[in-house]
Amino acid sequence: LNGEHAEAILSTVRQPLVVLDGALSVLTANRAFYSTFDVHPDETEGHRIYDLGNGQWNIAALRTLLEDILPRDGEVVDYRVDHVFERIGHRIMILNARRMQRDGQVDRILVAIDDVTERERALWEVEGLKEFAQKIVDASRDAVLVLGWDLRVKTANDKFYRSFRVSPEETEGRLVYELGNGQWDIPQLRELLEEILPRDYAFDDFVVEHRFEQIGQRTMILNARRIDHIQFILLAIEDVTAARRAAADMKEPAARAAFLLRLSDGLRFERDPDAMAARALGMLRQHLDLDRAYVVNVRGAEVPGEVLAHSSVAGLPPMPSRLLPADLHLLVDAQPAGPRVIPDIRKVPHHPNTRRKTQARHALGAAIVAPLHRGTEGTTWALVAGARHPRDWTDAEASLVAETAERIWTAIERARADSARRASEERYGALFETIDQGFCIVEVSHRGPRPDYRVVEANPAFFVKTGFNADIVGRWMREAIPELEEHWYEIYGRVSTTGRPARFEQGSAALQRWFDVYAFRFGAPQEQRVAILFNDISERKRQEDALRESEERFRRFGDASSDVLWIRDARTMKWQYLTRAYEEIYGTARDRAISGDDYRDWLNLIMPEDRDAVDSAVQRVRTGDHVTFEYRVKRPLDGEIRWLRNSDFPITDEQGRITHIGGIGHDLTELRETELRLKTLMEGIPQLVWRSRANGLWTWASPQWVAFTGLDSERSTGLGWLDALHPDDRASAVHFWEQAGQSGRLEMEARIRRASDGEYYWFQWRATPVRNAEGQITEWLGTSTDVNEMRKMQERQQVLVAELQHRTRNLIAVVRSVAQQTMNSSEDLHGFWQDFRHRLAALSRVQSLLSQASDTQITIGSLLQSEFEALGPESVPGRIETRGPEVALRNSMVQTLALALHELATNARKYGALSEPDGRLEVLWDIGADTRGNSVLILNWTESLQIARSSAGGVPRHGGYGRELIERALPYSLGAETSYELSDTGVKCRVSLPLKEREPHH
Amino acid sequence: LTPGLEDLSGCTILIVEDDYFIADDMAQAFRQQGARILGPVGRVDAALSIIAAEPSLDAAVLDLNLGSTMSYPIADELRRRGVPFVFSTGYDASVIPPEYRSVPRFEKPVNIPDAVRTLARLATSEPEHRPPSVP
Repeated sequence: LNGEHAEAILSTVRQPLVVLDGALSVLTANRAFYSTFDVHPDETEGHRIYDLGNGQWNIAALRTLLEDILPRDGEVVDYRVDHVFERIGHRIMILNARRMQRDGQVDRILVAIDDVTERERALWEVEGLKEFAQKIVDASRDAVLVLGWDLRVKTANDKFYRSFRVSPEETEGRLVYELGNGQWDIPQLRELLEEILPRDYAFDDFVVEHRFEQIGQRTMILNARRIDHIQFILLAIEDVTAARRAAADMKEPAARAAFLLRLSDGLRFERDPDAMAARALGMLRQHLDLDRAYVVNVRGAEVPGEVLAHSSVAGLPPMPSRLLPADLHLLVDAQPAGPRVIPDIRKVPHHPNTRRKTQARHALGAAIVAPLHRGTEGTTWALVAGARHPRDWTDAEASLVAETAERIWTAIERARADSARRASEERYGALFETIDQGFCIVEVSHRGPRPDYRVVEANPAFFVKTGFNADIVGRWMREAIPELEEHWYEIYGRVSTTGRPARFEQGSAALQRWFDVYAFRFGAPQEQRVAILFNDISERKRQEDALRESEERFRRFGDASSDVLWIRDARTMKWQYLTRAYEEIYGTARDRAISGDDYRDWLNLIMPEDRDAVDSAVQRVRTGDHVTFEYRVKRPLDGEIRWLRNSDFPITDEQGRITHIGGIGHDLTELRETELRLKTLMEGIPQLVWRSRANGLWTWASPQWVAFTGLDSERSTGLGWLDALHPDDRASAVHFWEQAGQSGRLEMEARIRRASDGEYYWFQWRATPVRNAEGQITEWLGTSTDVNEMRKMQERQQVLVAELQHRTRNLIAVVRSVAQQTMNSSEDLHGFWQDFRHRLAALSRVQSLLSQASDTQITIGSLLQSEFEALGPESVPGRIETRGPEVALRNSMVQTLALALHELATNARKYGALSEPDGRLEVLWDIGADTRGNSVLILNWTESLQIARSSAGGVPRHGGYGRELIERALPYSLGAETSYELSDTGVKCRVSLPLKEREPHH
Repeated sequence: LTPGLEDLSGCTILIVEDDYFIADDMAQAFRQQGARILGPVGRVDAALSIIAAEPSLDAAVLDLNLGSTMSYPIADELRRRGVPFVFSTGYDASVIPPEYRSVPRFEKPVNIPDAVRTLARLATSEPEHRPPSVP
């Protein structure tokens, strides 16, 4: 059919037709429509059907047809609409409608309207009304009540009396509600008769569920007509209880299955557990035609129950959020095995503890309670399906409620789990976003000769820790980072193929980082995905390297140290670290020392008298002290005793607990020996030793000082030592100390009083500064050396040197004088030389005698002997007689006397007694006294010749010097008295020489 | 008179010397230049006696070491009287006490011409503190 044909059909059909579009606006209508409803096309076409004729088509029944039935079924057949139109009055219409679709879009809706108003009115007019009514009543298979407008029963048919087991007597004339002891006082019926019927003339097929006293639960279909002109109301009652039940029973499995399917869909649709429960309850309510359905959580009879979700029809009292204990016994008393069916709540006994009429009883007349004893112990989760009025629940309904309860519970649990899982997933998602660890998922490719991979997902930390940019995601690593090491590909390739997780630490030179990595297969094996969780441990690696290096350095220090370094476990006291030096000091191998109870073994090496002190010192370290102590060990190897000094200290962990103790053992043996030697030296040397601070503030004085000065060490400290100094030297000593601070050296001489005799002795003082590492003077070490003897010797030496000079120069003067005198008496140079040579020899002899004079005293005898020996051996024997006591000569006497004796002896040999073979010389001496009583040496020189000579011939010219010596020089120089006599028989000479120094000038 | 040497005529000179020959040599040399010689003496007391007895003394030659005594008392007396003098000695200058350091010193053996020259200068000088000598 094309549009033209359709238009033609539309216009010729007598029946009113209207064509609507999808939005229910009128596209077109036929002539019959316009004439029947007395409207003009202009006010019709393009308008919504509900707006037509001043809204007179806005009919509830039409709306239901167009908006509910037609979209669902696509077609409506013989839909009766009873409506009072504004212009044309009351109309009864039968509507047929069909939906036309094109491309799935609603295109057209064709509505055909059959106006049956006139036909029905004609029918009423043809028949006699009463008869008609009676005929209808009697003929009806249904129970029929004929009511007057006062709702009193005019009459009823047999069917009614039989069906409801009442008699005409107790029925006719009565108010309908009073019938059968008020059992027809049904709220629905009141509503129908008093509200609907006065407005609508009639109601059809109204289903009423009611529980009658005599006959129990009944389902009735009510139809009523207001027959206005005879003022009757015809009420037809069809009891469909049995039929319904049969139909329901027949339809039940299918309906039940359909419902449960829809329930599943509905439950799947919701995610929120509460919304899910509410939706399911709504579906159940509609399906079972309930007034209210809810789920409640009950924790015992005494605690208010918590309503979790509910669905209720309009007009019911609001659902309380909590159920009071009075209501709860309905629920908690329910048999745990299955649902509890309550056809009439009013008949359930009140809880004994309350007289209150509860909300549950107000709201519901019947209920099915399906409890589930799930979840927490002692709680009951229950689904309550309720009807406002008492209701005979079927087993199928009870079973469905129970089944629904199960399903809701399961769905809620699943929803809760899902929700928890989703929350958990979200949390994990957030976790991976925010964790400090790098995380990524890589896809591994085994297509090439060697595995490759690419990052498909990564958290922010991944980028921070690898230094990659965001564009790394999705790129194959071999191409993106060509320098990346091969081992990464190998490891991830292996994890993806084997599925075995890998945990490893690996450095990457390409990334210049170290990573701690955990890689595991992610997803299905064929996905070839690996999840990688990692940390950047470059810093830790660096620290570990540094630590290792530091430990290595420490170990080297330890091994190189000549001190023993050690660490013990503070609890077991076992050695955990012991350096090589132990072997040298203790003479025991380290591995032997460390075995067994090494602390006890070690103590046993210590000298018994030191052992207790050492043990208590170590125990103090274990309690946290730093302790330094000295002790001796006896080496088991050779019995040698070694002095050691230990500096021990506790080692604590981060909590400050002492976990170990450590120590440094220093071998003091050599130091001790050196100290001892030094001490011996300091106390043994003749010097006085002392120690001082700056400016001569003494701190210590040696025993020698104390012994010498009588000042004990205590009185000598500070400036106390000055008391031992000569008063004249004290000021200069203080001055010297002040100078020493700048010069860095103290050197002075000062006299110290010796305690034993109270005399002062010269000492030389010397001190050297002891400096610390900074070069500052910390103290002075000094000595005072006795230089008294040395000073005396120096003085003596000075005198001797002066004396020597004096003598030498004097001697030269004497030599010159002798030369002068010899020259005066010599005839020629030869004669001069002969005499001078001998005189010089005599002088020389005197000098050698004088040089020995300190050892042996020069006596007159030895002087004479020396002169005679010089004459030669042939002169002496038998012809010279010397006789006299030993008389010591003063040194000042010797030179002049010796020269005089030399002249006498020389002359005697040349000219006198010794020149002749029979001449004799007699030298006699003795000690006598001069005129003043002084002791004198008296010497007589007597020569005797056998043959007398003339004195003239015998007097040699040479004798002049000798005679001058005797007669002039001896008296002049030595105060002697002399005589010299030359006779024929020889020389007689007498010398009287004072032995003592002449009286000094006064 | 030895030609080229100062004339000591009119000068009275005391010689103190304990060695006979040295004293004699010196005396002869001074006499040869015209000096009147007192002494020689070898002892302190003798020297002091001569000084006390001879107010006209012009100069003196003192040997420092007179055997067992030193001649400082003589020097002191001569100073007191304002008589110039010289030391004739074998001692080094350092041995001589500070108060006599300014005294001219002839080292032994005495160089006679030097001694004559010095004595001539001393004897003819007129120190302020010298008492007036006898004409």
